[in-house]
Amino acid sequence: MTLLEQDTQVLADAVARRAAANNDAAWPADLRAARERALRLFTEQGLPGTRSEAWRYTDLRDWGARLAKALGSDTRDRITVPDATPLPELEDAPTIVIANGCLSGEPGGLPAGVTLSRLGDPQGRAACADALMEQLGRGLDPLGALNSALFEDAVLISIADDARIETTLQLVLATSDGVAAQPRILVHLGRGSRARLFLRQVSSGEAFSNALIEFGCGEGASLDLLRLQEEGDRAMARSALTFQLGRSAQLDLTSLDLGGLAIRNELLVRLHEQDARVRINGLQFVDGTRHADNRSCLEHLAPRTTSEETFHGIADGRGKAVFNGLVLVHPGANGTDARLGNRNLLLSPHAEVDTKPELEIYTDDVRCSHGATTGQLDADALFYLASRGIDRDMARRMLVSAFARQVLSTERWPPALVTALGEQLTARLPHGDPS
Amino acid sequence: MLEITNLRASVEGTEILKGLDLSVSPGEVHAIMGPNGSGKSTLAHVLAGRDGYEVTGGSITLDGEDLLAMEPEERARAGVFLGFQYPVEIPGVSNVYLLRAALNARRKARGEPEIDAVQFLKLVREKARMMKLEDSFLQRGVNEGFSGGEKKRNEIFQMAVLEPRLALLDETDSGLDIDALKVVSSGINALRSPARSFILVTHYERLLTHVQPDFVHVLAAGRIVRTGDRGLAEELEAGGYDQVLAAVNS
Repeated sequence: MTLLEQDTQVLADAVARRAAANNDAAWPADLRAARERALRLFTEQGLPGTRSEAWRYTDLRDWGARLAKALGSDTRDRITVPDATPLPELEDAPTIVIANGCLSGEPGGLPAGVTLSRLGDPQGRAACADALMEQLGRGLDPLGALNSALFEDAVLISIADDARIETTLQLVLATSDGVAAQPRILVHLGRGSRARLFLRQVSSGEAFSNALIEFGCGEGASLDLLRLQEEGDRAMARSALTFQLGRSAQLDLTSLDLGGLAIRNELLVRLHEQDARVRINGLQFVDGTRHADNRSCLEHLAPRTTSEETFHGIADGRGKAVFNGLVLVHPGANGTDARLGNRNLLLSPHAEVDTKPELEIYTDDVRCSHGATTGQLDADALFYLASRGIDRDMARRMLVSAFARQVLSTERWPPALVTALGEQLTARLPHGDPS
Repeated sequence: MLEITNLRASVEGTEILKGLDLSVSPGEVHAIMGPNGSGKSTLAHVLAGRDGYEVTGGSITLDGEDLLAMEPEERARAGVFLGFQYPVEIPGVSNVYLLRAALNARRKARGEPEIDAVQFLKLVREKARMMKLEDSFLQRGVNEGFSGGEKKRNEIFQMAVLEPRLALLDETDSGLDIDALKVVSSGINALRSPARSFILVTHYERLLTHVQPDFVHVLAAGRIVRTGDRGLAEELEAGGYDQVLAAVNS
């Protein structure tokens, strides 16, 4: 056995042992059978290697070791769960906390039209299980299989048809030091409903998180989602967000990756029915030896669907930022309008950016554009600021911060929240000395 | 106030300024005119300290201090202001944020406390009105999506807020329609004072009908070849650079 095979076997055994201890006897038999299949899939395949195109830039070997270690030492009952720092405007927001993959407490104050069910609770079980079975039937990648084999609970957030939820709902995924969490969340927006969701990811120490979140948006539904990833600087976290948009449904996503040692996000948006629209603004920031890999796939499956993605990357120190954006226009998706842009700022000669925006178009009647740029701070802008008396450090800071803030929009979110987020970005970002 | 002696400067190995002398006293307005490629903009950039302009000889002093030894930001804090020919767009940095940072940088360098927020807003609003700029303009990204005229008005607006001792205005009149030219000129005139000097770099005489210079210099092939009063600008307008330069060379 090679060393690599040995590691793979150790991991497979750890996953199998944990799965055997799953506390899911009361769950529906078909769901349990599907979990068994997922477990077999994972133990047979293991984690994908860098030879697989989708994982070319993110090497999961360290992740495997972390995962095996966390699965081997179950300390969940004794650990503290990290808190997310409250942000203005959201201090009183109804908050759902998923701690180490399980719903923590009973969230109070959910507005009318919002229901929360979970698999672990006999009352909500059927609704959750149905949604999960549908999802599991669509096939799984290895990390999806891992999550499916091991998740300890699943949470379903439903927004009733025509409910206009003006209050921002907060969803916090918290992972503790030494834990491997498999959060599994389903969000369903009924026909004509509207919701605003603030998703936060936090962790402490050597956390491992592998979250699967699926959103379904019914006809005419509108979802504003703000995702703020502030994992600890030793965390490894992967999240897969999937969206299915019905006729005239709208998704506005702002995604901010600020923390984590190794981050991998996969975003799949299926514009399933005509006139569905998605707008994505993303930012990833890496410094030190941190790594972030954001992949998005926007699938146009129906006529007159629109997508607009603007993704910014900032890499400092020896950090590595990876972006891969695919716009896929299926046959029959006439009148598609798709714009995809990725801009990257390299602040250090040792930092790395890998970017690949892609278009795959199988119909003629489309308007599509894509582009990617990677560069340093604009020398003309730096001189302009210096000529006003602003010193170099400050000028750099201003330009880096401005580049980052461009992904924040006040159209959809309360200005005070956007201001606070902007300040948080600025505080987190470096001054970008290139030397 | 400003003494430029035998200044030589190169860009990418090509000598552009070839022994330029200029002396500016407090309160004076000097116009530097000259054909394309004569070194007008190079002079403005060398004075402001732009990278890529190599000074190979001569000296520049501001009140006896060696200007060439200072970083661009230090020159700005010492009272030098460059109005750009092509003001840079800086999306995401608002005008008002830039100005507050600039004012505070200068105050900090002088050991003064940061400017009071109310006082600052009062100041920028007053100056914006002078330049016929709406308040909403203050919150917009620096030059972001501005028209050519707005960019130039913004330069003069920044100058009005920063109150430099020496203002270098590089082709501030280019690309302006007649109304914008009037606003920009009256802004410059309003800032004229016995303590403040101006160097107006311009290709055309028309700015000088609105802002009366004390001296007009003709720059050609990297040197000042003629100096006169307002009448020289009119001569240039009537006869063109060729005629004036031919007279110099003969």
